[in-house]
Amino acid sequence: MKLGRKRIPRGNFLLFISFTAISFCFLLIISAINAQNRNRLSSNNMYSGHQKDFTIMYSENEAQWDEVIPKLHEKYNNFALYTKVPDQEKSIRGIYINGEVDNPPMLQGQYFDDETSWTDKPAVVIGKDYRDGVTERNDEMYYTMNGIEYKVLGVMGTKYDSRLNHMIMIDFKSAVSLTGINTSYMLDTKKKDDINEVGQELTMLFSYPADLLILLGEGMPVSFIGRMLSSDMIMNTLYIMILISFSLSTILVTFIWLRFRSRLFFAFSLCGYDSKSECLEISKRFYSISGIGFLTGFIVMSVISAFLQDIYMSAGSVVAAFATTVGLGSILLFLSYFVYVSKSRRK
Amino acid sequence: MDNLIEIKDVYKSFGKKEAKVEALRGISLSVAEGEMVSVMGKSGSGKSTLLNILGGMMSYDSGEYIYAGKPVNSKNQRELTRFRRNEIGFVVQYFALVDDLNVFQNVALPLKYQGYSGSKIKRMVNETLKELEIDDKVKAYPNELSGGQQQRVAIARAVVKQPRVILADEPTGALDEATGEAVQDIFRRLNEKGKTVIIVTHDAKVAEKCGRIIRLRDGVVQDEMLSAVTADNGGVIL
Ligand SMILES: Nc1ncnc2c1ncn2[C@@H]1O[C@H](COP(=O)(O)OP(=O)(O)OP(=O)(O)O)[C@@H](O)[C@H]1O
Ligand SMILES: [Mg+2]
Repeated sequence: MKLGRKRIPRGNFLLFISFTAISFCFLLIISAINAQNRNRLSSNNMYSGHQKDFTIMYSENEAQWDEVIPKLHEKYNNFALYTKVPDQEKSIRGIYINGEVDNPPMLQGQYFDDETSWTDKPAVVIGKDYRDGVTERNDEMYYTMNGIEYKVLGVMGTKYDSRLNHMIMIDFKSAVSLTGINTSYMLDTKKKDDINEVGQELTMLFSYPADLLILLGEGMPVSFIGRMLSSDMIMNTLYIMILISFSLSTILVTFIWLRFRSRLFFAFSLCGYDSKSECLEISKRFYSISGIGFLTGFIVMSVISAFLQDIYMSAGSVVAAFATTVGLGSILLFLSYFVYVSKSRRK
Repeated sequence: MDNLIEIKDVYKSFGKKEAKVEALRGISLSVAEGEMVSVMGKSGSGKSTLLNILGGMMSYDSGEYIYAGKPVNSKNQRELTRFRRNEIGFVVQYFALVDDLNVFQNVALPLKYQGYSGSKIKRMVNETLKELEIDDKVKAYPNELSGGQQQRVAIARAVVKQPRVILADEPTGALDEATGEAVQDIFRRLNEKGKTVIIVTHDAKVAEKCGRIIRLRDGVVQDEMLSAVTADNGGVIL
């Protein structure tokens, strides 16, 4: 291998290729994980995946939630109730949330909590597409829909296009007053095991004449394979396998690199370099080669993401991939150097 | 003359048990400051091993190595490294140049991390290259040089920091006769400037030009003789 007039040592070339591959892989995986999250957010509209529908019928007390919510609030944590508010053009959900379930990414301000989602002061969290409709008064933001003015708690959304960007979340009380109590809802909990318990409690709280219909239990039995396929497990396992095999091959390559550069080591020891200077010289070479490798991986990845809409590389993922590569590289270099030196010292 | 280098009853073996090879078997010799000595002997007689020990590149099993009146502890890596850095210029048989460094960078290697300024390094390297008549190849890479040129660069690297002792392992072995002689002259000039030079060689012509010839056999000194050069100057032929 020659670059200009300079002969590139084989080891350097190997190391370069290997770091290009590993950084490309990191970038791809991190972007894929991002895409996965994004998919989940936009397809489920922020539900956890184990959420359950329920319907309330025959309730004669429009204010029945006023009795139910405090009781639930006292007994359970980390659950949320949603209801759909019919609207001609906008996708509006009412939400009551106690604790944390699966909060959407916020671009500004706060998401709902147990106080702001059960309140007499109408509150809203808007998707970023509605930001323009916001009015400002006394340092507060307001958003008006169908003649009702809501205080804007925050703006949610994602950098890329997603359904979250054009959704509107309003407090539960406002939503129920718009839809009436006898309608359908969604129950969600942070922990999957909690959902049946909260569901049962709800059924009890809405007793005669009201009737609450919820399908509890496991629902449809899902096979292990089905669960594996539907969950992120397979993909995650795949990612980990890829990373492990790349790491192993990079360990090997780092070691081979040190072996191929034995002449360099020999020259260092001929010239009386102490271990500190030797380490400095080696790290300098190692990091510059792996750095160029990372850069190449990054460029390849940029080209790919420019052509493929689905793959999107955020600054965060680049930083994460870089940090991981550098961290991994340092560990590899340290390990290989240690093994190499202790081996050659024994001679 | 005081002895600069003195080794007494030095043993060195490689490998273990059946595979054990005794390269040096109680060798003793001494070299005075300013001397030019050649070491000869059959292949496998322990010449390179001896040179490696003298140059602090290798530890020995038993015996004594006294340099400038002080013992060299070959088990102490740090001390050995310092010794190598400050006292020895080593020219190995196959040059050991670094491929991706150009001539200047190769020769400057021993001067790095020594506290020299960049301009001082530049001056020292350029002077040495000029002396060895390869200053026109400063920017060349080793693979662009002939064998003789590479050997000169290796010598330049060994002498650039002006060590007291220059050790050379078959410096002319890979060169044609004329080039070999030119390289040989370089060592003579260095010796004339007061450097102590020890050359391992197979070549009787090279050996003859040294003041003294030490012949090894099976890891000990077989015999020593003063060469014709020294004899001309009133030395005694042994
Ligand atoms: N690193 C090593 N490991 C094992 N054996 C070695 C090693 N270095 C030298 N030897 C053995 O020690 C003996 C002396 O080797 P040495 O290299 O000193 O010989 P030499 O006189 O320089 O030979 P040549 O003229 O071929 O270079 C040989 O038998 C050799 O096989
Ligand atoms: Mg030899």
